Amino acid sequence: MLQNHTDAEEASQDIFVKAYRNLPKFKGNSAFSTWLYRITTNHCLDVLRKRNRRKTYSLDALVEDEGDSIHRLFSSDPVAASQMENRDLAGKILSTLPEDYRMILTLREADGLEYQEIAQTLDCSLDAVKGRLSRARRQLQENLRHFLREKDVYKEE
Amino acid sequence: MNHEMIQQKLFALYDGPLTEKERKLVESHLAQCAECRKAIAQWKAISTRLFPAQTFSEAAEDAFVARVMGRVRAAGEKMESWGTLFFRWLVPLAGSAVVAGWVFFSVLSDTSIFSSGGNEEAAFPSESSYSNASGNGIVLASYSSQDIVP
Repeated sequence: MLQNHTDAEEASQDIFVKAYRNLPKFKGNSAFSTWLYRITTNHCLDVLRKRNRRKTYSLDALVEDEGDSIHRLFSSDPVAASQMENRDLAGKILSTLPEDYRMILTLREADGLEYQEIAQTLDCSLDAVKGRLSRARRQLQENLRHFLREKDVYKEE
Repeated sequence: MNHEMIQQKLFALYDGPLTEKERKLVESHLAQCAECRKAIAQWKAISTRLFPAQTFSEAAEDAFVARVMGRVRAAGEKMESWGTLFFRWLVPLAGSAVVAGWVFFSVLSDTSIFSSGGNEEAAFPSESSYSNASGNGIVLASYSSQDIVP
């Protein structure tokens, strides 16, 4: 969500400290994990908004700077993709998406939340979750279409 | 269910929340539709690379917990030190200031009584002069009800 490991760890610390301080405000109306995810999403959005005032990463700029690395990422073995430098590259690729798309994809794909849990976390309807998730996936696929060669895609089937 | 409708359900199959009937329908469509198979295969390729399963060593987890707890304790101590400062120093200081102020103004009022040559009415104005805060209470007090009634 925050593009690089260092920022993510710093944000994680901030989130846990914030949760600890706000513990008396947790009334048990939702699952504790949902409450924690809500703090996390709000905090990440704050961080991204502050950062976006300074710098934005366009798809064209990313392809120009990291095109070769993205090609290598998608032609490599998926296990190799979990290495640290590839995680930062993955963060950069995701940063070309709007914040709300990045957020919903992270909640679903990285954290494995069910549709209902995502709806509670983002405080929106189930239909809104399905629609936004579908649009986010389509846009990411569109952004990466030049890097997704059939032989690489189907060898994982 | 046609191709368009199946496409809407495609990722629901990938995510899991489909009824048994819907699942069978989508799976039978997938067996016949190369375009839908490609869409799912592409998404799997993206997902495995951009969202790989996160694994952390026990040592890394312990280090993270230690850092967070360190910050929580530091924040608690900071608040405690403000609390200590407040209760040990600021409250007694404020109390002393109130007492000193009370003594000072008592002395001042005593002095003004004496300076007015013992004229108690001047030091403690009448009720009618209190009734006007603009300072012209004495003028008001000089009117009687007979002056007002025509």
